[in-house]
Amino acid sequence: MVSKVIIEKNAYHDSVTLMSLSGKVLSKEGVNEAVVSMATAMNKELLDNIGLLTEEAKTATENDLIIAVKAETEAALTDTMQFIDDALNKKKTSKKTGQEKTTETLPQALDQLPDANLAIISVPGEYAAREARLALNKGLHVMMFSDNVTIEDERALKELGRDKGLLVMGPDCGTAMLNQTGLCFANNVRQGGIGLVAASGTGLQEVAVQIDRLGYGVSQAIGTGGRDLHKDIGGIMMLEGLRALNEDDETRVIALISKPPAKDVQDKILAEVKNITKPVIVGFLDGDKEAVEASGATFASTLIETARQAVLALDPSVTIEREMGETLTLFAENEQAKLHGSQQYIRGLFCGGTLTSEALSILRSEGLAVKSNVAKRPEEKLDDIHASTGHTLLDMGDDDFTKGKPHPMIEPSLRNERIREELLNQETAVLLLDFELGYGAHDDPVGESIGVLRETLEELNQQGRHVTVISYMCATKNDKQGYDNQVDRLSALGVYVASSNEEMSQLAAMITKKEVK
Amino acid sequence: MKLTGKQIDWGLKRFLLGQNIGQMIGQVVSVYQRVINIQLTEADRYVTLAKSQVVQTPDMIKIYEDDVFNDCVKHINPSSHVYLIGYNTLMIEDVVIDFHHAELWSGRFIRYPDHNEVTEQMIKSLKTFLIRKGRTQGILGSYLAVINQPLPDPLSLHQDALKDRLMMFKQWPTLDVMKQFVGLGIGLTPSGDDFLLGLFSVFYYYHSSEWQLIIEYKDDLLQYMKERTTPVSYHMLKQMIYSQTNDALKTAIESGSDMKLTDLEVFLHIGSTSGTDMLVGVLVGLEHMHRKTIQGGMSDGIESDHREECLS
Repeated sequence: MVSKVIIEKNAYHDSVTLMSLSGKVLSKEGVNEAVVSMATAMNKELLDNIGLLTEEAKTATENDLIIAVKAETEAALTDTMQFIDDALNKKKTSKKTGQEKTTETLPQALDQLPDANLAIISVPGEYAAREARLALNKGLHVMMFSDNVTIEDERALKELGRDKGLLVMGPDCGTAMLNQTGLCFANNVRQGGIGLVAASGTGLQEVAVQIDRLGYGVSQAIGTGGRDLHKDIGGIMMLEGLRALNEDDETRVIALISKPPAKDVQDKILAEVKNITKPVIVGFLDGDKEAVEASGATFASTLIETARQAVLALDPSVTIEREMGETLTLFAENEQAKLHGSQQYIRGLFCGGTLTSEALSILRSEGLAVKSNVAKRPEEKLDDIHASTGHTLLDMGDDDFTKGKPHPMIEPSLRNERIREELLNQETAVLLLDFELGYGAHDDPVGESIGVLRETLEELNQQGRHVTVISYMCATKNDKQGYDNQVDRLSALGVYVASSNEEMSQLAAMITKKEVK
Repeated sequence: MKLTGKQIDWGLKRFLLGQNIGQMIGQVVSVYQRVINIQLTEADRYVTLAKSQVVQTPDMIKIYEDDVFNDCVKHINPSSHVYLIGYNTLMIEDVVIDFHHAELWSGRFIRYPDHNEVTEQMIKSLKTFLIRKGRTQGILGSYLAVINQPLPDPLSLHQDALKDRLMMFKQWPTLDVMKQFVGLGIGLTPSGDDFLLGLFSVFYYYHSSEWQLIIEYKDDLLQYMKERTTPVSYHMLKQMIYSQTNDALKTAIESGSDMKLTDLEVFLHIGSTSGTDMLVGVLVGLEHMHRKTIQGGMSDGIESDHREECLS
């Protein structure tokens, strides 16, 4: 057994960083004990209990950081100390290649990349507006991944961007694809003639993915941030995106994607649609069909329908299958037969916010009373996000679930506890799960949840119970995680993988409404 | 560069008004993104300059201009001298801090409970909030283990030690046991200290016998804390022992049974786990007060001398 203790004088790191680091270090192979903490007397006492209080550690003061590791071999110890050093000092892997350089400010970054024309801002919300303003004033388009930016700042930034002829995508914009480059969360979709402007991240991903599955492609995909269609912002960036795509030679059809906008904003956007010379598809969930069609645009009520209509506008000769096949009806019938009388409800645990909203809209249109944390209608609002009631759909990427934690698209295991809880719930008939692949997403999202699914389904089986699990993989065949491998592992457990979020929702409605003949 | 004070602890303002203008009054000891800490030279005080959204604490000056503050953070160095250059005006390097018109704030409780009764409903609401929204990486994880609630992760070495102390406190709520929490935890304000801040705030607000004990032995306790925890924590607990707590704790505890969700959510933004740790202190304090009340200790104004018997 070998050990090492390092004292960093007058060093301070956020305690969550220290906790998370201690956990990671302890899970490393060959590590027996690890402590990373401030050197208070009480903490040193704990160190003494595990035999790591060296002479040097004894002299450390309350202002110092102690890093102590006990490992089985010298190699494991060296490797672990290096791991800790890298984590605390945020050294990049680029150190090995020497190809990337770390910079701390935007001007420094521009010195390194003078030809850059877009800045992605991902700093805490309180600093984000300042950095975005700086980028705009330096002539850069801006994508703001950061949230918690005030609505006043958002409006001011978007007005500044509009005046300068620059895009301001966000705040809270998680997805964009510009000139065949995916930004933040994005799928590997074909290049093509359909341009997208979306005020929703997973909504944009779903439409792009479905276009790809139909064999067509995307020219540009511009995210605006979820609040762009709020009355205080007035859809500034959706209007700018629309105009930009109208002028883009590669774009032949334009699709707009959003949850329903404020009435005044919708009127403003539809007025602009009238000036657009290319076919426009308006995919506003729960939107106003008549108003959209009066503007000359085509209305689509779901994300997949937006993709279908966009493809049809591009190539009217294409044949699109919309009906649910016989196999699915049989599947629904079989599943119904396995359910007990008390199992009546759908429980959806989503990573994607817009996918949750779309499922809510579809289930509502099927006549089901649903509760959700993304609901806008008072009667559909969920009182307690920790307790499902009736049909319940949860966006687990919502702030209430992710404070101080990563988004479930980055860390899907955050859903696991709830997956187990809902599966074991006597009232659950159908469990819905979405998975997102692509740039920015977890390397193996299914792998993170497959264990809990397998164990709980086996447990249910032993109790003579069954719950239908339906999933949807928002991904293309070319996404880096490997679509087939992800799907195969779910299918092996008896989980049905739907071809769209719409199909997943309709299938769930069919099973719980018991209307299969 | 100029920073304007938005809110200041009135005790600090009064202290600074009594200092000689033109002299160095302290030294910057640490600079973080949201706060700059200054150790005063003539008094055992830690002054904090903070951005506008930080929860007000004793000896803190909150600043209006967050963007200028961001710039200051980049070039003010630890060890920089702090000068009092005029009435209500400080200077650090080339940054002038003017707090002439800063709103006055006090860390003392404004009102006191109408009666000593801590209700089950207060405890239940707070416990439910913590279970649902609290951050379990600090002492909350230990508390949940004590009450046999499921935990997302196994307890760390520090959490295990905190759990032992929580169990001891439940059985023997003595000053010696409380001292065992000092400095225990990994961050700049160890979880044990944040817990004590919440616990002491409850004891103080309800004028409990434990508070009388703390006051009686305050000099020993302060010396013990000074030697055994980080400077930031020591000064935070010292202010508490001198009856001043932070704004979030003041609001939550004074609300009593009218405690609002929004008041509790403020804690989630204090530090990484610090706010949750403080609330666990409040919860354990309230539970303790409740136990004493229902077990006959305080209903007649006389506390039981047979605590072990009562708690068994």
